[in-house]
Amino acid sequence: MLTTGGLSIDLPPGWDGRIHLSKPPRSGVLLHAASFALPADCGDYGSGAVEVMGGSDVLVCLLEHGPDAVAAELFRHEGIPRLRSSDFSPHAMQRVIPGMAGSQHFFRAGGRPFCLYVVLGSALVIAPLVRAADRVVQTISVG
Amino acid sequence: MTGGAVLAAMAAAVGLLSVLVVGLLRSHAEILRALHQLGVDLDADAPVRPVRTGRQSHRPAHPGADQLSGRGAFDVAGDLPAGGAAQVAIAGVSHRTLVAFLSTGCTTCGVFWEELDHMSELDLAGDPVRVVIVTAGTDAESPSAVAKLAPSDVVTVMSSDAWEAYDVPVSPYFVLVDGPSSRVIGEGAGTSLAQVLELLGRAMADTATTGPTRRRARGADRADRVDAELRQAGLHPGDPSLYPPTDDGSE
Repeated sequence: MLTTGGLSIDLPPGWDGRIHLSKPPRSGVLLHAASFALPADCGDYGSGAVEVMGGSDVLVCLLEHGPDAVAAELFRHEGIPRLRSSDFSPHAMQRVIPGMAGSQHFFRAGGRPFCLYVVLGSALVIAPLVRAADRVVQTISVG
Repeated sequence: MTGGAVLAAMAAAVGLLSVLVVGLLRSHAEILRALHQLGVDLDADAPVRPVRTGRQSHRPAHPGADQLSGRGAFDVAGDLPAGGAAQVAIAGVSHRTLVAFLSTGCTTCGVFWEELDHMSELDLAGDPVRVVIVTAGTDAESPSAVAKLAPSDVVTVMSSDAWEAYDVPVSPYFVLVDGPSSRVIGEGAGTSLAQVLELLGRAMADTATTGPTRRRARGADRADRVDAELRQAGLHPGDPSLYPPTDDGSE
C-alpha cells in the first residue's frame, strides 16, 4: 500500500507508483501508477511515460487541484469514478498518440478536488485494459 | 669444506625449503576452505569485492510487498527525496533492474551520483537495464541532501527497509535483478561505474552460460585444486612432511 499526503493506493505486483506531495507550482498531491517502469521525470499528465508505454500497459494519473476548486461545477461528481470502455478515446489524451486511448474524469473526494487521467497503451484492446485500470483506481482512497 | 659436505648441505637446504613450500600450500588451501565456508569467495582477478549470484533473500522490502516473499528479489518502497512516496516494481517484471545503493556522505558514492546522471537505463552486456537509486531512509539520510544529488531522470527512493532486505553491506553497493525470474543475478561494489558494469556484465554472462552457482564455487574449486596437486605429489592429509618439526623434535 502506497500512502502519503492523505492518499493511498494498493498497487498490483509489477506496477510502479509514486505520490508527490504538494510543491509549487502544483497546488495539491500528484499520484502516478503504471503497469510499466515509470520514468523519474514523468510529467503531471504522463509526458515522458506515455512515450515508453507498451500496447498492454496502463498509466493512471491523479492530480489534486487547489482547495478553491472544490466548489466548482466541474468537480461536482462525488467519489472515485468507475472506468468504462466508453470513456476512452484517442482524442481524450492530452496529446494524441496514434494507437493509444485516454480518459479524463473530474471529481471530489474527501472534500478535495481531483482530476483522474488514465491512458491505455492500445485503443484496439480497450476492455481488458480498462478493467485492469479500474481495479487499480478503485483501490485509491482519499483521507 | 669438502665437495660432499657442500652437496649434503645444499640437499638439506632444498629439503627444508620443500617442506616449507608444501606447508605454505597446505596452509593456503586450508585458509581458502575456511573462507569459503564463511561465504567469502576470493578471486585473484577481481579488483573489488566479488560478485555473488543467485542470492535468495526472503525479507520483503516493506510490509506491502509480502506477496513477493521468497522470490529472491523485492520491490522497493520508500520516500521520495523531494517529498512523497514511491513503490518501484523490480521483481516479476519483464526487464532487469540495477539497484544502486548510495549514500550522500561516502566519498566513493560521489562518483556514482555523477556518473548515473542521465542513466535511467543503461546497456549491460547488450541488454537494456533500468537504473534505480536507493538511499537509506529518512531515519538515516537527509531528504534535502539526497534531493540535491539525485539525478532528475533516475528514480531515487529513500528506503532503509530495502537496504535491509537486500543485505547491503556497504555503500556504494549494486544489485542486479532479473525481473522475469525475480532473482538477484549479480551484486557487488566498485569504485567506478565502468568497474561495476564490467563485474555485473560478467555475472550476467556467467548466469547465461553456467548457471548462478558458478562463481560461488570458485573458492572451493581452488582449494580442491590445491588438494589434487598435493595428492599428485604423493602428499595426503596428515602427511608428516606437511607439518614442520616442533622445538622438542616431536611432530
